[in-house]
Amino acid sequence: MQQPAARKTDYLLLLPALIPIAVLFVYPLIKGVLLTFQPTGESGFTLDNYIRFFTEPDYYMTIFRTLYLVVPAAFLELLFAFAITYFIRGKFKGKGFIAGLLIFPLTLGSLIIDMGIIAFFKPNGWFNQFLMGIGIIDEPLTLVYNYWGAFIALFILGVAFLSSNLIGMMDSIDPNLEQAARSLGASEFTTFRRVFYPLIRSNLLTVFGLNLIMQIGVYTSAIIVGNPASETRTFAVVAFEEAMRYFNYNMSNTVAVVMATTQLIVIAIIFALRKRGFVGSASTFK
Amino acid sequence: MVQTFEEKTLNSTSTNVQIENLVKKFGQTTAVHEANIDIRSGEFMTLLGPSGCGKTTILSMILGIIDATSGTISFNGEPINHIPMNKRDVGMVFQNYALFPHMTVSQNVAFGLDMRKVNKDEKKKRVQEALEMVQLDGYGDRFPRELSGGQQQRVALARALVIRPKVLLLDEPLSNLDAKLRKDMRIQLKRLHDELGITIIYVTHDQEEALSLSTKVAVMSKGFIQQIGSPQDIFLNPVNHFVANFVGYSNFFEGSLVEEKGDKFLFKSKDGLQFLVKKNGRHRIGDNVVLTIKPENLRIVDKEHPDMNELRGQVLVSDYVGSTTGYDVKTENGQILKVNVLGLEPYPIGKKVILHFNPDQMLILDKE
Repeated sequence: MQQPAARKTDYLLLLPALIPIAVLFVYPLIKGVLLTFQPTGESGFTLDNYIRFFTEPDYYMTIFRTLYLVVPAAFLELLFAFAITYFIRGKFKGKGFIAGLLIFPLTLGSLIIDMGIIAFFKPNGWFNQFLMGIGIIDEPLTLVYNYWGAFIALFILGVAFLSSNLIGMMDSIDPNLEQAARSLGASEFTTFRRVFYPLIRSNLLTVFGLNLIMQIGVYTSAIIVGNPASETRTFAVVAFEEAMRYFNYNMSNTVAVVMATTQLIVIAIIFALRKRGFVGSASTFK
Repeated sequence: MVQTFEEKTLNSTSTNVQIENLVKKFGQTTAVHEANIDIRSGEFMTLLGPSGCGKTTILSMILGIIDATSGTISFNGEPINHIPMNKRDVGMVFQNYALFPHMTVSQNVAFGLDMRKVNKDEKKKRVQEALEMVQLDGYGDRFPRELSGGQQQRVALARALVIRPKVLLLDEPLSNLDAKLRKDMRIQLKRLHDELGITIIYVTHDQEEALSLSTKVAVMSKGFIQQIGSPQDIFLNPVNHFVANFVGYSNFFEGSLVEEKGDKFLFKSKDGLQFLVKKNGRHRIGDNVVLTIKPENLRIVDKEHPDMNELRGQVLVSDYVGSTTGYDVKTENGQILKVNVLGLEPYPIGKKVILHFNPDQMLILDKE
């Protein structure tokens, strides 16, 4: 039976679903963006919020502080997650357990992970005691309440997120492709470079991008195991402060808009890179 | 338009392949038991068997994906067990073709040449020739996803052949094609084999493919090689129940040879049926054997009472397919036999008939 052609009035049926989205998401979004163009607590139009953001170091430094924390972490996470998942790809006994361990941090959430980091990496925690015990260091390393605390927290969650995605992606690449390359004379490295990597590249960039923009919004770890006053004063920290300490919603939203713009630029760069290589299914078709 | 490729660049060095006492165990299970296969250079060897019989395992060991537990595989007398798979010079066509989806047809075919650092001009020439050979010239710039299944398969074939492999391995290459295309590809494969004179090892579960393509067939079951021989050998003289069943025999009787009568044996089945059957050189009195007769050799005779080598039965199913009619006939002891009769003979369903078993056309088989 043929589907009757949709009439224009049929789209009215979408309204019950669209109205809540408009009310709960689109309206606050537009309202938030509009707030950034208004002076504090008043109506009217002004660019003052943006001018303040980009002239006062307390604000504009958040861009660099956030990126300085998040970008190196994201690359290191990618390297680790890729290496581990590449190593455990294919089917073998106990893979589910290893995969479970890798993904486990995602189920805990940042707060619990941060508490764990404090216990483990604090000056008299296990990590420092171990290093001092085997004589590598004399003084305990300061690994919490600073840049490194937040870095470690991001790393743990990032590796978990990336791994959970990469495991499936790697298994979706037909192992016959690598075997075909090997049988045609390619070494293991060449097989990786010319067959495996090009096929996983687009997926890899996509999850890398997602992870990066998620981490640009880092808040909990920056506060709890970082140093929110200086080194880990990220976008979210400043936005929260403006809103909850100074009740300056206009400035808070301005910070949020700059953060969103940064995320969009990052994702635009990554997707531009992604398009330069092979984008498509890596499974064999019949 | 198809040239002879012998004098051209695609000809490959002939290689004979010996497989000696090859064993593969996966944990507790043995996938291949002591396989011995001798493949002469230029031979089209087919490993035939149902899934899980170990045929693909043997192919994987020749290719080098998996290592043998024991035994040797040699090319021209030289063991290759310890040569890594990228140095074996073995061409492989995978069941799902395994074309690189991110490369064009030309790049796919050229991959093996890149690995061999063939210079640009020669590479171009050889890729062109390989594509012509599989009748795909002009498709070089397409991507695999833009090709049909049959075309993809020919690309896979070109990619495997362009490196002038010592041996060409094919793993059920026709199983993903529709019936008509399968027949076309079968003819193409045969032509390529004749033109290139390359040693081919082919894996399939399709007995028709095996018989039509091969110069030699090894029938496998449960990790054991049951019989090796020419297609005619396998089809006309299957050695045991499994092989006979697999190449299309039906009508089996289990029992033993009880008496010698001139140039015939008297066979007695488990449920008391007796047949006279022509002797063969392999069996003697007392052997437990399986007797078989092809449906087309069973005859329906017009008479009242059965003599020796005749059974009463009743027609259950009549299946008219033009040149022949197939009947399912149920005998008095409940066994259902297949009978093929030329043309249309009027034996309606339910009719009582007498079946005649010609002693010269019954085969004595080993039990498995």
